[in-house]
Amino acid sequence: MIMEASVLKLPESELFTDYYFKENTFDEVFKKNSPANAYYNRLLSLISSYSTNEFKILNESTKKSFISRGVTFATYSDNPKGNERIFPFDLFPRIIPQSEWRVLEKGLKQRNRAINLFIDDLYHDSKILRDKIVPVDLILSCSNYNRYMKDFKPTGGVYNHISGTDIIKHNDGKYYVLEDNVRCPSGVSYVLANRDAMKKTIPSVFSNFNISPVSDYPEALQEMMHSVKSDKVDNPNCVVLTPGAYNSAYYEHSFLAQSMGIELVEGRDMFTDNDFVYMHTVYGAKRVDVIYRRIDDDFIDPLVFRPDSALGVPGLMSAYRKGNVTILNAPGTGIADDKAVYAYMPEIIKYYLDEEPILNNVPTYRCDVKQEMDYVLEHIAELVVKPVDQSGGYGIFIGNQATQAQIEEQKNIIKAHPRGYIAQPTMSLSVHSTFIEDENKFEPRHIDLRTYTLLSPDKEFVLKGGLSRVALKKGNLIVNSSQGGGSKDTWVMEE
Amino acid sequence: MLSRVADNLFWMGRYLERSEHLARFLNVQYFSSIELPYPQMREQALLSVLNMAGTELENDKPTEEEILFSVGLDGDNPASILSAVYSGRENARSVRDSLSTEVWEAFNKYYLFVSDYPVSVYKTKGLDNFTTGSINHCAIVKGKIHQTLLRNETFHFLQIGKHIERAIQIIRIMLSKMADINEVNKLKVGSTLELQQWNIILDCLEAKDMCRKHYHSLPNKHNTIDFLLFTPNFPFSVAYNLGFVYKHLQLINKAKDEKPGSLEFKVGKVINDFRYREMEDFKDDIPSFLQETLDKIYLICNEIHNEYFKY
Repeated sequence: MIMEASVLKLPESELFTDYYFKENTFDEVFKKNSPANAYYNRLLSLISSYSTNEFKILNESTKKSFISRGVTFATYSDNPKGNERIFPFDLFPRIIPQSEWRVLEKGLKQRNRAINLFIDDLYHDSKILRDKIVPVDLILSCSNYNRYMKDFKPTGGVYNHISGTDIIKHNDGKYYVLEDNVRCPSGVSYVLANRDAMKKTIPSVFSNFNISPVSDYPEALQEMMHSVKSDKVDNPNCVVLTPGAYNSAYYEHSFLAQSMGIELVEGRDMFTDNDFVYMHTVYGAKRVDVIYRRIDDDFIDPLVFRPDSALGVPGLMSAYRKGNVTILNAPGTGIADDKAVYAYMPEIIKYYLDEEPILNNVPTYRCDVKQEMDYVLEHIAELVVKPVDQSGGYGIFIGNQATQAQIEEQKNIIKAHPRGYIAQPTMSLSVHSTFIEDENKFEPRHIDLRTYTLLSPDKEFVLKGGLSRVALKKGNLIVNSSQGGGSKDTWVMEE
Repeated sequence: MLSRVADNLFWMGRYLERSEHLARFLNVQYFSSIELPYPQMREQALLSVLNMAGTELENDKPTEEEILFSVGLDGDNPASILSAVYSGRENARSVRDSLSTEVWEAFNKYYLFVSDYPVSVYKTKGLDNFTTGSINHCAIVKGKIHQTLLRNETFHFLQIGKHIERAIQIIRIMLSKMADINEVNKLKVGSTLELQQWNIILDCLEAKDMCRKHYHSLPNKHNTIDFLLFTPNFPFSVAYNLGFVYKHLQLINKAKDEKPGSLEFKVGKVINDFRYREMEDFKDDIPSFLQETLDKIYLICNEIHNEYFKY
């Protein structure tokens, strides 16, 4: 429901004309019947000092700078040479006050540390299953369980070296974890690119605000990569493995390699010999010690996984299991970001760390449990149904936006494959003022937060802020870039 | 350095250089043909552009606009300027982590300039703006390569690609223009127009001023050919470029020994053989000599490929 604008205390600027308050939603900037959140005050007065035209010009020039720097992703469906597009960027930054961030950071470290212990346990003694904290059938039925990881401990004991935890703010003003992504979480290059763009477009803000830098990420990533090298090497040859220049995330892959000054390799650049991995260089074979792969498990080794994969390296898993190369993230981590496993995350944290979970979990109904499925089928119109093993926002069913026919269809889908789905109450993603090009003014749009946590054997690092993703389409709740989402620079800021 | 990366750098250098020669040749040929007194010669000048680029059109009697589009902005013609810049940029993109941000961005801006150029403007009134714009972008990319890259394998493979391609383009331009001159001579219109054609070759290779300085005289057939083939210290001579191919190959080869049969040995042999040729040896059949040299350069490319780019 849309309320009168008068309940909001808006800045005097045509950019905020008709800005409205979305009922039952947390607005990150404005509050009903009271002044805007204090930590936004200075930013608001800066933004309102621009005329609509000035702001439009800034917006256009920022877009152009992304194009000329080649910060783009390409789609090849309608043009064999690729249509290059930018990931839409919004010039109104999202602020997370330092006091809130401290809690988030602590919670992220806790959660991802527990996930690491959980994965290790599942591939070894499975104590958590024997103690009946997590049901055995849930794990056995998980499509991401990787039998080649059984009884194998990666160097340093780390599995989810890089975790992309998705967090939202609900209308109760509290943060919730929406998803754990512990396979190949992407998007971090945009955090750095956005910050760069922001600095160039509105430099004055950075000299006046105390904003945590994000530029330390490549260094932290490299340090982490070194920390999981084999003891047998002193100076490891670390590489980033990409599917190639035609992958939509190629910009990110090359950015990561470039920012760490290491080689960006493709599967065809590498081979194995006697359980060691090498790359073809102009001076012959050179050993590879640590691989940050941006290729799914299924494709990394055609001898073990998909035989038709041309992206991987034949023999890689064998070299890995001999401890001669480190792969990150470890194969088989997908078992922990299964959305049905997500339901048990609070118990998992308590079990391994003997601590109360710091971050909230969204209540989750498993469709493979009889009573829970019955509840889901009955209340489907108020729930969000998600496939357990998908990412990118695909396959999500939102009950309160569906027609009766769609509801019936979804019920049948669930009944046909209960283990494949979970359901959650419709969480209300918070909204943030976002510049809408067609309207030439700010409107509230839903956002979430993709965070990045790095795990070393004895250290955790969380990138300060992360990627605030925006659902640009009015009313849309899905923020993924593959579904038309954009992003914002995210400031962790002293209040 | 990865073999694949070396391969991409080599081709990035080649396409960058190729695009510049195409743009310059197109510009010089077109604007010098405008004032030619005979319509046949104007047609010949444009066909010569197609010939130099290695393009064949389905249409026997292409219009001026068709030729200009085909050589300039036709993305379906692999020999167009747009295709050369696109391929060069794709090679750059696939190794952008090996390059400096400055080199990548300069190349990307070059690509955006060419790919965003409005076709209708180009065909009717933008030819000079488009071609000189392309040449300027090339200069910026090359400047960034020189200014921001380490002198390591990345730089050497880029330079090898550049010098190989330049040697090839010099010869192709000479071959193409000599065919034009043949046509001019058939018209029996006198030596002034022939001389003008030799001047155009020099213009196509930004060589006229230096050629005059070098010989302290106005260009003629003999000194034009001699200058573009053998001047050891002129950047647009074949000898100069082959010399740099050899030099960069030596810098890449860490072993430094030049065993018979090694890549450096073979390339050194071709280059030395070339350097000590004289006009007298081949003055009766210059095109055959040029073709022969071109074939040897292609052999060098194969050798480099076998030595470094296999993966």
